[in-house]
Amino acid sequence: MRAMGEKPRVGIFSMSSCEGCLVQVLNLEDKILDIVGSVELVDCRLLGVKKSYDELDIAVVEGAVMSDEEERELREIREKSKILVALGDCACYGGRFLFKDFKFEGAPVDLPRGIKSFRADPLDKYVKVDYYVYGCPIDGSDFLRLFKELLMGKEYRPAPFNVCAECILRENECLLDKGIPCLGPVTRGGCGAVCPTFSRRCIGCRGLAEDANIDSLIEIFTKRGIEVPEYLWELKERIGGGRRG
Amino acid sequence: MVGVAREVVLEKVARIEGLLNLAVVIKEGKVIETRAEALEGTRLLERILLGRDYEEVPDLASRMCGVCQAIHRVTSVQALEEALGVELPEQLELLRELVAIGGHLQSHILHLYFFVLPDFMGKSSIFELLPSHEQLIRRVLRLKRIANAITEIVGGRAVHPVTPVVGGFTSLPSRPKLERALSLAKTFRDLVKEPARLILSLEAPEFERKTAYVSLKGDGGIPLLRGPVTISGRGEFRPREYEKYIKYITESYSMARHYTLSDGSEYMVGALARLNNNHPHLSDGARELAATFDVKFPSYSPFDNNRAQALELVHFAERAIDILDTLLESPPGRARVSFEVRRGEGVAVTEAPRGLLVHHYKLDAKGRVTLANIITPTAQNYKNLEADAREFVTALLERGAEDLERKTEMLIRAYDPCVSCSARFFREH
Repeated sequence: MRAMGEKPRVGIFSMSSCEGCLVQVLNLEDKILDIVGSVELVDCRLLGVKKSYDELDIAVVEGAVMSDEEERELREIREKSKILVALGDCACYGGRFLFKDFKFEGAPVDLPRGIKSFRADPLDKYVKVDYYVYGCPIDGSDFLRLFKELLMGKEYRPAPFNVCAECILRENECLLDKGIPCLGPVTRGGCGAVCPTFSRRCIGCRGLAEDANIDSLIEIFTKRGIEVPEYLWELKERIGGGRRG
Repeated sequence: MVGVAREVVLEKVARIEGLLNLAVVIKEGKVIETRAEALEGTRLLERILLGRDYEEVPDLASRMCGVCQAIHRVTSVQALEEALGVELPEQLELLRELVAIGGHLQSHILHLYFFVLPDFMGKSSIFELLPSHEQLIRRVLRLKRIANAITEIVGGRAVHPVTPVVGGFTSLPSRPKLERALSLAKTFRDLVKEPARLILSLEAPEFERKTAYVSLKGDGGIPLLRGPVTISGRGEFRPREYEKYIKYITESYSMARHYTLSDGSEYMVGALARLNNNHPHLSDGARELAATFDVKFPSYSPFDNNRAQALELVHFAERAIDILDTLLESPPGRARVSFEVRRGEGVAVTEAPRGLLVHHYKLDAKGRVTLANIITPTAQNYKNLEADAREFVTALLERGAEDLERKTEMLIRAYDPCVSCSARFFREH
């Protein structure tokens, strides 16, 4: 961080994404005024901030890397920044947990400007990422906590529990008991269990919880007579569980 | 420099959603070419949707855009319902409209006060306005929070709502929640008038160019979710017929498709198009405000899109109040109607904050997507923006305007472009 009395310099950047995570930051409403008061925001195109600077204390990057230009820009940001934060699932995973793997072999895609192939890569495929803020979209409270901890010189840690932990705290009826294929047990929490709270199955947007046990969830589904959905097999396959057995 | 063309490129225009360059080629004091170049990575959402179960579609479709996700979700659900032959009772339709209105209100607030206002105050960002306009900024942040809270009450979450699904909702707001939404909508209506007046009083650059204005049109009110589509001065079409009336072109310089009417001419969608076509149906409060500031429709100034949005802030707050009054009087019964999965095809045409939005799906007998086509408002506006920029910059050059770049950026911003939604290249054929 800067010398005493100097505010840390912050830049906020977007790779390809829906920019919904940044919108969540703006949705913090007057709390963003507190953050803006504690740091020096020097770069944020969406908000029209562009000051000259040599280095950043904190770079926050949302979105997935989808072009050479974005890859170059990301590398430049990394070089200039002491701390780089991946904001949201596109930056953390390339959006894979929601969009699944992109397999477009033979797909009739007409791409402009000589772009030959399609990709959507997480930031850490190209640069070192110091902190990950998960979610599609992120939860504003995680963003606030990130800044509080970084400003105090502490480490930011994402929620260590799964979606069920928060769902139980909210005293929701378990959707699995109703025969609904909810991914809460294997999904990283921190979202406040928003989907199950509104009777929607968890779709796994935050990615796998640290201690996710997919086999066990498949067993639960089977025991309760819930058809194991295709995406769960896909998930199992991706983390190397071998398909159906 | 006689005879030599020079090119001015406004690079990665700030304070718009997504990445856009506008290239302006000038020769002998005249603009001979303009190019709206969408730079965003192509996100190929329609391709990602292929083969997916219909139930997954709304979650993915909403990820088109982080600002107007609410309407993307609702529109995809409506199109799928048409494909599956699902019809909703009136109350559920009204709840859907409420989700859309929450989205419109927060999107217009974001655009008008975070993106547009700094231009008129000679600043580059809303934070620079803090010292001089702290009260105003705190008020618009509060308005944004209220709009989001309305979406949250019905949709479960403000960004990427979770409750609207094919057949209705996964859960309905309780009576106390609806009462809370009503009181929020009333507070919004009361608090928004002063900031709306501020936008209406701003002196925009003088510029007019008549074009075709395309929007939904209804018998009463400003329709957001249903109704025939009107092309000003040319007639109407039904949502299902959209391919006959609007067509896409691929420009090598842009990551987005660009659209024209069937005869190749450009057209405009958005708040200005909505009000040009529906202005007699503005709510009382909005009409009063328009009269006070002598705002007249139809207007042919693209800068009036800002004013139209300001009037819509009042109009849709009043519409939300009407809807909530109706729902409290006769609350919805069931959250979801039942239906059977079958083969089908559905098109929904709605009004996103930035204008006309098309979602079109085909499903196989198991309810899997075999075709998906999504047309966003910004993609439809590029050709009109290029045509406006051609005339506008030429006029600026004739007048010897000094801050050509700043004024041209103001024109771009008036369109409220959302580049990331528009950047998707996928051809089914």
